[in-house]
Amino acid sequence: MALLLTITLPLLLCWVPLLGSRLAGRHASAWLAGLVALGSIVSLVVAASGQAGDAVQLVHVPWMPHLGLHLNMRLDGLSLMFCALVLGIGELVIVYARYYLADDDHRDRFFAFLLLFMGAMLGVVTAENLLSLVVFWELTSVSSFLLVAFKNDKAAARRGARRALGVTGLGGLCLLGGVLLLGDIVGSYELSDALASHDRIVADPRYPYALVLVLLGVFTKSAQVPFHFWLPGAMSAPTPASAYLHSATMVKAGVFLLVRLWPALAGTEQWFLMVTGLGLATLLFGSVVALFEDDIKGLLAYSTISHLGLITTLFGLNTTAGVVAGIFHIMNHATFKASLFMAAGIIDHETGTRDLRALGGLARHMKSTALLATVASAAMAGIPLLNGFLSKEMFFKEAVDVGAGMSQPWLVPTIATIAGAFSVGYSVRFVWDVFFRPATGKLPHDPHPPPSWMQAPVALLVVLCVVVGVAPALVVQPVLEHVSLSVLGTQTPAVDLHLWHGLNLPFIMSLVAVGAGVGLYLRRDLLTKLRQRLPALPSGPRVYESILAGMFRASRFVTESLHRDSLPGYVVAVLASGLVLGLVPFLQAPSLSVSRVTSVPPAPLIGFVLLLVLGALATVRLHHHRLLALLALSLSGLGTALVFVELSAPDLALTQLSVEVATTVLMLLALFFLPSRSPKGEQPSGRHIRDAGLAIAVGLGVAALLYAVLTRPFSTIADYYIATSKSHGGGTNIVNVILVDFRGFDTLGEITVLGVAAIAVSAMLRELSIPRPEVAEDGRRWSLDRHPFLLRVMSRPLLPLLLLVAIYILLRGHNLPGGGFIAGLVTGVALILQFMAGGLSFATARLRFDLVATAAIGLAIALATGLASMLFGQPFLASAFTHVHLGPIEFELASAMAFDLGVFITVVSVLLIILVRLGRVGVDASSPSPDPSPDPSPDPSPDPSPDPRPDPSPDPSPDPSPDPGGPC
Amino acid sequence: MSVSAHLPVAMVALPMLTAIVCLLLGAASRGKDEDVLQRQRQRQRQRWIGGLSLLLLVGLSAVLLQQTADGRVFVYRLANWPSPFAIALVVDRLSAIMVSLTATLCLFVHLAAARGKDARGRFFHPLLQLQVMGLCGAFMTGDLFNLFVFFEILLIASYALLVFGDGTHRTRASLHYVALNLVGSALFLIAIGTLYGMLGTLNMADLVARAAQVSPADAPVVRAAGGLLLVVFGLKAAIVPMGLWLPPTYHAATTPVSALFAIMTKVGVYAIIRIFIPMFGPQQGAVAGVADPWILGLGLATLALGTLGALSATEFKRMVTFLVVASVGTQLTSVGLFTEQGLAAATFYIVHSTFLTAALFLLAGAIIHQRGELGGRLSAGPVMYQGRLLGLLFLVAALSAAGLPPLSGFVSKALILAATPAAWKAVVWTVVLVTSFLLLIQLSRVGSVLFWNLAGDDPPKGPRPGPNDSLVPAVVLLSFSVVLAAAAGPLDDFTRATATQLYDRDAMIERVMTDAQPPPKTRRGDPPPTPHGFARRPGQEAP
Amino acid sequence: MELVLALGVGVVAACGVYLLLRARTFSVVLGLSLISYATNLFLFGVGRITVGAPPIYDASAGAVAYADPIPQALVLTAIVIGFAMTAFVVVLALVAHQRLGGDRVDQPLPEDEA
Repeated sequence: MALLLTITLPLLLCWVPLLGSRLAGRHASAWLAGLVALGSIVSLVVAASGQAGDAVQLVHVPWMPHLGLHLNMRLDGLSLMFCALVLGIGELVIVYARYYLADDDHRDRFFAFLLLFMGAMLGVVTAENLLSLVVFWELTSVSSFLLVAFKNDKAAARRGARRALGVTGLGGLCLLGGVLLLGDIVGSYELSDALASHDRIVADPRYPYALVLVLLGVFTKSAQVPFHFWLPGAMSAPTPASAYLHSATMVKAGVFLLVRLWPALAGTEQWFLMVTGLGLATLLFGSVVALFEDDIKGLLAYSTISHLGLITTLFGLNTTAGVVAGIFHIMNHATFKASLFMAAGIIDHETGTRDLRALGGLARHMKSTALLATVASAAMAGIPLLNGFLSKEMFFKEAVDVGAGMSQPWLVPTIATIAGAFSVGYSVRFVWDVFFRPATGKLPHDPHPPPSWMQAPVALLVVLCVVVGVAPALVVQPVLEHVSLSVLGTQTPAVDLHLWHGLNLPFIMSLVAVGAGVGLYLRRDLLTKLRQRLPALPSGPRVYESILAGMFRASRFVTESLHRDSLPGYVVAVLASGLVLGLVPFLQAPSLSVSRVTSVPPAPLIGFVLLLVLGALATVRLHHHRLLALLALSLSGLGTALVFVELSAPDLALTQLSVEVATTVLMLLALFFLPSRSPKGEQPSGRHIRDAGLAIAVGLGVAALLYAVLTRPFSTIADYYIATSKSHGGGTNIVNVILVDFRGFDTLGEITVLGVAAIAVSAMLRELSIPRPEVAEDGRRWSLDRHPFLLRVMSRPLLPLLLLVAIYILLRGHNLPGGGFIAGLVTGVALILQFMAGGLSFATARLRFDLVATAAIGLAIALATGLASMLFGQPFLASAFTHVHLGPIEFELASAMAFDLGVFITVVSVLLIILVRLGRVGVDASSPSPDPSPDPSPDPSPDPSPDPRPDPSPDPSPDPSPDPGGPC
Repeated sequence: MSVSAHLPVAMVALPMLTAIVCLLLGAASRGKDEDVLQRQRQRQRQRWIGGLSLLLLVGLSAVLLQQTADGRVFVYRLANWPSPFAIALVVDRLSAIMVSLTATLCLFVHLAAARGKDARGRFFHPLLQLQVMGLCGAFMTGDLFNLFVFFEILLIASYALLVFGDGTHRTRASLHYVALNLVGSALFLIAIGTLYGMLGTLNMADLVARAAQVSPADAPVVRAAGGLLLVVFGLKAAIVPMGLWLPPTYHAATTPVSALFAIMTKVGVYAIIRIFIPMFGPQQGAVAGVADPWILGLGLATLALGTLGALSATEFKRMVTFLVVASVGTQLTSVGLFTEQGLAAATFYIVHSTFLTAALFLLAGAIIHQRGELGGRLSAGPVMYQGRLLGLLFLVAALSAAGLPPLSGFVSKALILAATPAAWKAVVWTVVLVTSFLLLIQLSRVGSVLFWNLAGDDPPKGPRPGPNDSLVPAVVLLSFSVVLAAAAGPLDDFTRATATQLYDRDAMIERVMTDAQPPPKTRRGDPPPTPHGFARRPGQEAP
Repeated sequence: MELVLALGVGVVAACGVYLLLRARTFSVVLGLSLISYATNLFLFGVGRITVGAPPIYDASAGAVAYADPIPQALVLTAIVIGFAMTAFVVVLALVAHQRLGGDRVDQPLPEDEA
């Protein structure tokens, strides 16, 4: 439980410092952060005190059982050691940062991020579940991103942070893959299980993939060549962050995972080659580059890289002693490197520069800092009596032992020695150039000793270096044994830490390294020359950035070539996919039998189909002359209706005809405002060919599909409808019964669609105002006759008649062809005819009621009929009917008829809304502005579309805008 | 029948009723167009009614969710006819999830719009309600043609909402969107016709049952219909190559509307799941596996191209639209694995991405507004008034979108990766991981440009956030990313159960087809004459 | 008979597709109408073809092979929905023509709009 607290405290309380300066004073945030960290330290102590030497303490926090992702935690020697590192150095860094950031306005945020990172790091090192380890792993990347980019007004900081996030994030994703693979192999994501099944893992064919993926995560995080480049870039972080992340903790996460999974993954050839190989390369590379860095933090960064390489190498050697040495060096490196970073921060803070070429002679100004930094760098260089020396000795020993087993026994030791020499070199340079050589020039601001509390953390760490270095057996040996035991278990080697092992090969190597190191420092000008001779290595950042740039370019190319934002393009894509997906099954099919004899068509059908086809062809032929095309289109529509008639679908025929009329009127109105011709040759001729090809292909496809269906046997549920429509649906017109009863729900939806269309149309037209053309495009003036006399005379008496017909159709609909739709459409058309004849004022004078409201009422009636049946414990839309006797007349009255009435009302009002509104568009345009030509303006003959403007004669009825359609 | 039995149809009837009421309200204030005060009062009323109705709808959907949790399936036979003759609403776990998503999302869209963005037209609220009606119906109906009808409802409502507000690019985008979807509807009708012509029924369960018996000779025709359906649904879901329309369209819509559209692509994905899992599933004999290779392939392609699009974007909202495409790709990939785990992961991802997408669009709206004339362009911009808050929200959204821990994005992606069978591991993992990496790169870049690369320092230069741009809806929607991650365990259980239910074809057929004895239909009023003994059975003879 | 109908539908569909791919909104509208004719006929046709037996139940007639009423109902629905959609598109085309200053389907946007 206490362990849980250790991790959750920093994570859940990371926001506390934000209250800092608001609550109490400038430095409150630092103290708050320190307090949180302290709390977490205490709970860690509590947790640790509870357990015996080699016991493993597990805390189960279930999260996703099926996936096997839990937040289980584990406290053993290794995780304890790392927790101590994270929390101890974290606390010191907080103290240090309180002074370093004393006058930064955003320090609250800094401490918040720091706590977040601390929590994430603790999560990584205590993870028992591998997936949750990945979770915290990525969290460290994110929080370090925020820390590195802390000075986010500097472009360098932003770039460095993004690079760090990119590289480590990529590693994290690979790690996720690797962990998932491991889980597949082991059958569980629990670390304990993985550690227990080394043999199964190594034997599994998926082992190499899993290994590579995991190692990619490790190497990116621990800045191994060639992924090292993000670390120097991350040096734009505030120095406390660097001291914390880039020496002690985050970069250690990688090597932590190495040793964590060592019992599960190590011991194979691949492991040795990949880990040791890259480790050695990194060790050498880092140490060499560090010598030539002019920025203090850059130097320290590369030295960190090289030391991480050293640790990696040790873990790669597949020897238990190597593991022990690696663990030991992790501790040592953390102590001396953190202190060095802090020292660098002090120098930067006091002198205003980090440039080795500018610095010098600081020893006079800040003696204590000089002393501490010197000791720490000595540890870094591996000078006896300091902790660095011990682990380096162990490393040399391992190098020799392992080398002995190889074909070139000298190789590994040599590399080790060279790297050692360089590390001595850069350590000397760091100390000497900063503190002891005579000052070269004027510094940004003249140095003075730092606040003592700022040095306290450094001092503490340096003391640790010395104590460990002098009396290892007393201080660290038990710790080291405990930790090693938790990793290696039974096969833990005897750990004996002594200053003096006698004059053996490792000691000689150390001597050589020290001597050569000093020499390297003194004569590094030669090396610089040599380096200038050599071809410069491709710089990591540049390569990385250019790869990214390439990807961005590629993405832009792909996207631009794909997304043309062109309707024909979209349509072609859809139709082509349809063709392919529809055709493939036939290609796969064994045989295509025609298992049903087809019948000879009756003559009329042929005629009607011909009319249909010719109409369509004519439409295509004439589509540049829009009016004619429209007429051709309506011919085709007529053909459709006739086909329906011939094939015994009277209802369809009626509907088709009335819809046809309405549509034609609609399009004529539209044509009044659109150009009357489509210009030819707008598209490249190639397009026509392509389109024609596609069109023909689609046509063939449709025809083939229909034919295939028509020539196959058929059994349908329709018989049931036929059987029951009269007896249980109360109507003989089966189609209508289906519409209002069996499938009344469809109808409800469909009138809803009509309603929405009406709303949308009136809304769009409300804001639309098109100046009405005085002259048709072909130069003819519109006819002067406003309301064609003939039409007027004919239509007036026609109206009642048509309405009568409509009512009749509505009423009989349930039993004979007809019904709400058809009746509604007929009525609508009749009224439209009136308005064409009578003109707009005539229309509006008769449309005092709100059409949208009536449409809504129609919908309401339909919906209500449906809901009503619920009151009778019936499902929605259940209908009932009864016989009504009115004197001689006796007919059935079905509740479905009420539904049909709703349909009727909706259809009528929608039709009127659409057409009348469209008719008024021109008016809406011209009425605000005084019309230039007061003369009674023309009807757009030859087509009988309504006059789009009101009578100029003073109309008694002010236009009451027959619908509330506000513009959307 | 019991009241709770009416739940499914209530999910459709309630929004429709609300829409009608809103319309009548609007009509009430007709003729007083100039009376601004009147219009405001009336809009205020609409807001209240619409919001309350949506709240109620969320409640109802919660009940549905709870009722279906134990595996119960609502089969609501409309007009009291037996299956397969009645149109049936079938609500299983998946449908319950989808309608709850719809209700919740639309509630927040309503809140986001009701702060003034709805003022541009009096019809926003009715249209939103009708959109909800269409969505709920589409998610619940068990009848193929009825699915078409509800598609049309939600489409025409979305057309109207898209045209909402002016702006030329909006008009052109709507034109494209509408025309293209009309083609889609035509294809849909042809597919339905073919299926009916071959199988003689429209009830989905019945279709599934009959499709299994199709003879090898007839199979190709049915399979072809399946192919067409995939195109139709792919068009709605915006899969490449049918989905290229999405970015410009969503980019053109007003902020609340594009947030609403977060659920629109899900309709397509849902339909694909609903049709292709049972009807062309493994047990379906000659018609089995019509789309298996296609769905996975197209899903991966969509994911890749969406990511590339996001990478290429130079404007924030446009990038978000490409994130939508990428998420569709992820869902399809997961469905295309055709395993229960894959389907479960897809369901989880659908829930996650619906909320996240909506939140991202709302966020984009706020950011674009506060950056003034610079809008969403990705270049050094002014300091924003709520820069810090927006930055934090963006961080959360970006983490979730890139699939980084610990948010729902990571969980759902981990689920998908874990669900991938060995045969597909290599390709699926590569695509998913690489795309996540690219998104990580792009989002970190975008974030640092928007919030760190500031031309000039405080005081903020961008316009103040007006009353219209409350961030509350965005915050709540984003918090779902956290909640979903925290409650991942139970939700995972639920989605797995959902997947199992969807793969259990026989149980579903059995549930829908066996006639739960509808009580005999009585005439209202006097007792019925003889011929009306109403225990309806298929194949019953006419008297 | 089946062949005639199938071919007829095919031709109409082809014409519709061709017009749909033209550059002007009006042509697109024409194309969409043609396509809807084709679709409706297709949907109607799958009920198989019957001459002279409209689905009006006639108790006296006894067992008659009525034309399949279901596709007829579906087509009726489809026609009406199609009308709604056509109306929407036509008006949208008008709006586009006015706002974009042209009736091309891919009308280039005026510069003032981003």
